Order: sequence, then structure tokens, then C-alpha cells
Amino acid sequence: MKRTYLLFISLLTIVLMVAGCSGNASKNTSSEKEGKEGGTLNVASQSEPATLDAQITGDSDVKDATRSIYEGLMILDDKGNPKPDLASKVDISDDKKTYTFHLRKGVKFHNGKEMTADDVVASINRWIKLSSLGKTNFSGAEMTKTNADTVELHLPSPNVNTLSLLADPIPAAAILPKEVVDNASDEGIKDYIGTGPYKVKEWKKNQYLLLEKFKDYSSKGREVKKTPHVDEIKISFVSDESTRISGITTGQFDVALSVSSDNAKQVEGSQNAKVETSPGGFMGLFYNADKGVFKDINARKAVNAALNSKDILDSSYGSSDYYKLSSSIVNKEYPNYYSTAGKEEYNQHDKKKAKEYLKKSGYNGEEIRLMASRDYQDQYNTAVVVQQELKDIGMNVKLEVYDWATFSDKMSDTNQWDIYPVDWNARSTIFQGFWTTKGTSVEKSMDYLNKIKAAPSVKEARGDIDAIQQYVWDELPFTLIGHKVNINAVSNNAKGYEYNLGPIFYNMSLTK
Amino acid sequence: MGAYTLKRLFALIPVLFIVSIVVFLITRLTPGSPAAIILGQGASPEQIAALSKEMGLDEPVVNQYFIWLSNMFHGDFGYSYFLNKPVLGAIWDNVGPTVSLAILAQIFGVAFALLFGIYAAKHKGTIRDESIMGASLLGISIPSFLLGSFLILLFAVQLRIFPVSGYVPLNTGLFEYLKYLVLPMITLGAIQAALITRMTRSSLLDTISENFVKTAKAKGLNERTIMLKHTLRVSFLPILTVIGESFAGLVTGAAVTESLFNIPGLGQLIVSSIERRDYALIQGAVLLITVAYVVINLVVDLLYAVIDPRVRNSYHD
Repeated sequence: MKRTYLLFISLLTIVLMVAGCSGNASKNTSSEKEGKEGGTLNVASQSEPATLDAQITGDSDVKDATRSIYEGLMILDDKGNPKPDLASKVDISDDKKTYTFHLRKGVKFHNGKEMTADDVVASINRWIKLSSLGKTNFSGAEMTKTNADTVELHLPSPNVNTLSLLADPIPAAAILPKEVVDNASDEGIKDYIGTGPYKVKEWKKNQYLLLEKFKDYSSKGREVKKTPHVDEIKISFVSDESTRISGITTGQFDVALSVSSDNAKQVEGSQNAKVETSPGGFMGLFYNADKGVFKDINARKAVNAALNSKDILDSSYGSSDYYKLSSSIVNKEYPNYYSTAGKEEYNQHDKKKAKEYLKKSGYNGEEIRLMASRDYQDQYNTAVVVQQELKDIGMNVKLEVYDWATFSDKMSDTNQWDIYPVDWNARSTIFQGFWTTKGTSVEKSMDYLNKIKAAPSVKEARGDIDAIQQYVWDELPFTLIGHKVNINAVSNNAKGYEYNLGPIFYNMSLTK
Repeated sequence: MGAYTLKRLFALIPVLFIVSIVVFLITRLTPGSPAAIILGQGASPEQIAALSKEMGLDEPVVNQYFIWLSNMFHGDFGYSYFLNKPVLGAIWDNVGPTVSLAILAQIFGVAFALLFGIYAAKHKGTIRDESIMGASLLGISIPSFLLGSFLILLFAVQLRIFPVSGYVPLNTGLFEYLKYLVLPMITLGAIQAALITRMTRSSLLDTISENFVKTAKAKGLNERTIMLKHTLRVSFLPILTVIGESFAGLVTGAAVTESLFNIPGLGQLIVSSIERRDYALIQGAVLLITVAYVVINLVVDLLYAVIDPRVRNSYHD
């Protein structure tokens, strides 16, 4: 008895100590200091990029790390419109099949060499061959050199998204020196040389990536400005979220990426840092429409009718501050591709209707494998609520939980699963990847995508953009549950943080 | 004793052999392709197949095992494609932090435990004894991620005495080095301290009730001499066992602490290499840790002989 009593007293003391310590936190009032030149910007990232070859991978940690290093011919402005970056001007032929890029003069690579048309030709042709965007959108296309300052991209058929795709940060159509491209294998480049405002100084695997300001950088005359202030950007790989949060509240880090909604409140309560939210990708429930129960459209409709998006998102993101209920694949912030077509099918939570569809599908109580990964807590939470909601309409759902590597392996085999939730990176256009996922019915969606591509302008593609959005809700290759809000934490000592399909560090400065 | 040492070292061979097979099979049977992970989202099946081939993963598993085994006999533990360096080099880079942390945690644990263990034994049954035992129970029961988070919250976030996370090598300066390791040291050493405290106390109490101590007391020796010269020495054998076993545990079990404090040690290396399915690295690191575990236990066994003559003599049989 005595021992338990002591244990209780010790615990109580600890709790009181912590509570007492937290009491003195007060809101900061003087954060309007000017940014200075120099210093090291400390960024804490959840995961380490597998490679710094921005062309070959669509991983977001690769994009976040490489955005300061490489540049493309085009860049996206904050509305998602492509603007010239390493190109100074673009001419498009009348048949929309030839894009002529006039190259910016006097641009230097990190190795001191000046960028030439040969570098651009080698880089873009590699990107067409190896990147997921290049392969799916530009097969048969080729970049050629016209003269020292001009290159031409020849397309087999028009693609209204050409400039947007060249500006997309993942996988980026990064311009690399020709010799780096020549030296590279298909698995990746060996030297990380770009034209961006920061160059790679040291990559200490498992610990950090250190970038150093590129002295010869100039964004003079460019529409989207990049103005490097800090001498170094150090991206540390800190897998534990509480460590990232503690680090930003003590000033050890200036930016902490991937903050969960649970911890966002803690950051907001701290006097040293604030939370930055930005439109994120969507959480979708993907069906195996090739095999099993969900081959029947009625079974998919049953699930879609049953889901209560708000409940699911509340469970995944904690508070409505950190998600958006929206039936559009593309965020409202990118008006070109935003569409409300088919929205009446979204977020119905109509059990009766769901049961009717289920009956129509001839579902017989077969076991349904709902696959999820615990490595992404929001995906896991989504799966748990979905399982419950589907059980409520009489589906026999078994939750199978894997680590991410196993999950992605199983994803590519339609014998292994029936349904899974997954969240996609935000895109400014309708991204083909949603449909090329295994198990979803592809053919018809490709027709729509091809029509959008062939349109003379995005404006004129409006009908098809709405049509493909309608198709998603009619055919349900996946059910869109809602959009997440990306949460990063930025210290009050740091200025100039921007977010455009991911965090941007190159314009940031420090105030102390 | 030399023969005994040799015998123990030879016994290591089948252990390593079995561990190598088990770890090899586990990596290969776990789904998830290393090539796909390296190439990331959006890689084509052709690219993945090409890289798998380059990594030798297209061979039958049995062949892969024997290739790996024969390479190891030539001192080649394989290549980590993710870290872009040989496995041994990668392990070597990460050994320093883990060993630093384990040794510091051990020193912390032992110093704390001897002090409080002896104190508790001397004051058996009093409120002081009960408090120490209560605290040690807490030390054993509290999970390290909880204790670590608490220490970070109190000493790093609120009081700002120590940094939240990170690691600097010893050559940047002793003070800096220790500054980063104090909190992880306490986190990792707490269980040690608690375990050894309890062991010290009970072992001392056992010995105190033995006849030779009573004789010493009857002879009128002062209490401090009896404690330090006679009782402690005899009691030290079981304490040493706990210290030895738990030290091996420290080296192998630092993963949680390392990941919480972002220390680039072996534990963190293994955890991240499992996430990435970095086969060669997982295999090499697990084997190395097995060796470390067995060797530390061997050293502890040999130390017995140094401390207790009865054990020493038994080797001659």
C-alpha cells in the first residue's frame, strides 16, 4: 500500500511540475522585425529524400529538398499559372505542336559553367523518358536545339498542359548540365548540379542536407522572383514529430515540416513559432474495380453513399481548421481546374440508399480487405472510420494494416486488396496518376484527359474538366473524402516562408 | 581460462550462422521492394526491374544468401544503395553515437544505483528505503519514449538548459558533446539505474545476513569497512551480471532513445534501413549487434573470474 502511495505522490509531483512550467508561456507580441542577410535556416523534415534526382521521383521530400537547387524552363506562380523561369520567352506554333523556348542568357550552373541549349535538350529529353509526368504526357515528344539560345519541343499531338507540366515541381523538369545527364544511369544522377539559388554543400545521409547560397545566382528579369537571404539552409531529418515540435518551440529549428493537427495547437500556443496552413492534396478511398466486390459499380456506389466525410476527416485531422470538405479534385486555389460537377454525390452519409445499392450489387457478405498503413496516421484513422461506416451498412470489412513499404508493394497487385485510403499530393492540374493507380478503371478517364490535353486553351477545356469531374462521381474509380490542409510550423525568427504545392525556403530570411 | 575463452568464441560461429539465415530470410520474406523505394513514387516497372537486377535481387534467394555469405568471408558486407556506401562504412559512421550513449547511460546507471542501492540497504525498512524503491519501480516501469518526452519538455522546452535533439561528435568539444547527450543518457540509463539499484540493495541485504559479516561485526570492525571491503565485494557478482546483461541491452536497445533525440546511431540506422528495406544494411547491422551482444556477455563472464576466486578455480576443472 505504502509503495503505491509513494508512486502516486511521485507521479503527481511530475505532473504538477510540468503543469507549472507550462503556465508561464505567453503570446509573443513583437514579431514584426525585419529579416537580415546571412545565417543558417534550420529546417526539420520528417523524412529523408531517397535521392536528389528531382527528375525521376514524385516523392514530396525529394521536391522539398531539391526546389532550391534546380530550376526548370517554367515555374508556377501562386495561382498555378506557368511563367518562364530559365526560359525568357515561349512561342507556341499555330498547330500547338511546337513550343519554342528562348533561353535566359548568362545563367550559371553551380559548377560555374554557363547554361546552353545542349544542357536543356539533354535534360528535358531525359525527363520525358524517365519521369512519370514525362512518360504519361509526352511520349513521342522531343526537345531539339535550334541555335545556341533557342530550343524547340515537338509534340506528336497538342497538350494544353505542356507549360504547366514543365513547371510542375514533382517530378521536376530540372535543367541539369549535359555532362551530368550523360553520366547518369536510369537510377539517378550522380552529381547534384543545378542553376538554383542554393547549391548542395554536404549531404550527410541519415542526418542532414546542407545547402549553400549560390553566389552567381540572379533572378533579375524573372516574373517569379527568388531572392536568397540566408547563407545556408540545413534540412535535418527528424522522424519523431514531438522532437520537431520541441525543436521549433525552442528555436533550434526555424521551420518544422509535417505537423499533425494534434500538435498544431501546441505550436499555436507557443511564443516562438506559428502554424502555417496551406491547401493540401486529397484523401481518397480507392477501389479495386478490376476484381472482387467492387468490380460492380453498385458496390462502389454503396460505399460512396454510406460515407460521412465530415466524421472521417474529423477523425483524421482533428478539427475542421485542418481539412476542407470539397468534391473537387483540384483545390479552389487553382481555379483553372477547380470544378463542382457531380458534387451532389459527395458526402451523402445515406445508409438507406447505401443498403439499396449494396443489395443491387448482389453482395453476399464476402470478406472485404480494407488495406491501410499506420505510417501515415491520417490514412490509418480514415481506414478505421471507413471500416465502421461500412460495417454499419452490412459489409464484412477486415482491416489489414501494413508499414508503408509493404503497403505500396501490395498496392500494385490487385489480388491483394479490395479498397484502401491514400492521400495524394496537391496538384494544380488534374493529374493522371489518380487513374493510373492499379485497380481503377482507366480507359474512359483517359479519353477525357486526352480531350483536355487537346483543347486549344485551359479555358476551352472547361467542358471536359467538368466532364471528368462528373465521371469521377458517376463511375467512382475512387471516392474523394476531402482535402487535407498541410500544416508546417515556422519560427517567429524566420520571414518569407511561402507555400506553392509544397514549402519554399529560398526566399526566407532570419531576424536574429 | 584461455581455453574457456576460445571455446566461448567458437560457440559464436553457429550462433552467427543461424542469425545470418534468420535475418536473411526475414528481409527477403517481407514484402516491399528496395528498388521501388529508392526510385520513389512514379517509377516504372522497367526502372525498378533494372535496379533490382543491379542490386542482385533477381537471383533466387538461396543464391543471394550464398553470394552474401561468401562476400562476407572476404570482408565485404555488401553495399547500401540508399546510403550510397559500403555497409561496414555506414555502420562505422553510426557506431560512435550509440557507444557514447550506451557508455554514458551505463555510467549514469551504475553511479546512481550504487549510491542509492547501498543507501537503501543501509536504511532498510525506513521511509528513505521505501522512497528509493518506489522511485526505482517508476524507473523500471516508465517507457523510455515517455521519460524522454518528459525530459525534453522540462529541460529543453521549458527551462532551456539542454538542446532538444541532435548529436555532435566528441572532437567538437567535450562540453558540446555532453550537452547533447545528457537527456538521452538519463532516458536510456533510467531503467539501468532502477534495475541495478534494486539488485544492489537486495544483494547487499543477502550478504549482510551471512555469517562472515556477522563475524566481522562481532570483531568490532567499523561499518564502513565492512560494507566496502567485505559485503560489497561479495555482493558484486549478481550486480555485475545485471550490469553486463543490461549493457548489452543498452547497445542494442538504444533505438527508441536515438529516434526521439534524433541521434544518428546504430538503432536509428537499423530502424530507417528496415523502413527502406535496405537489405544489406539490415543484415550487416544485425549480425554486428549479435557479435557485440555475445562478446559483452563473454567479457562479463570473464570478469566474474577476476572478482570471485571460486569462479576462477572452476575453469581449471
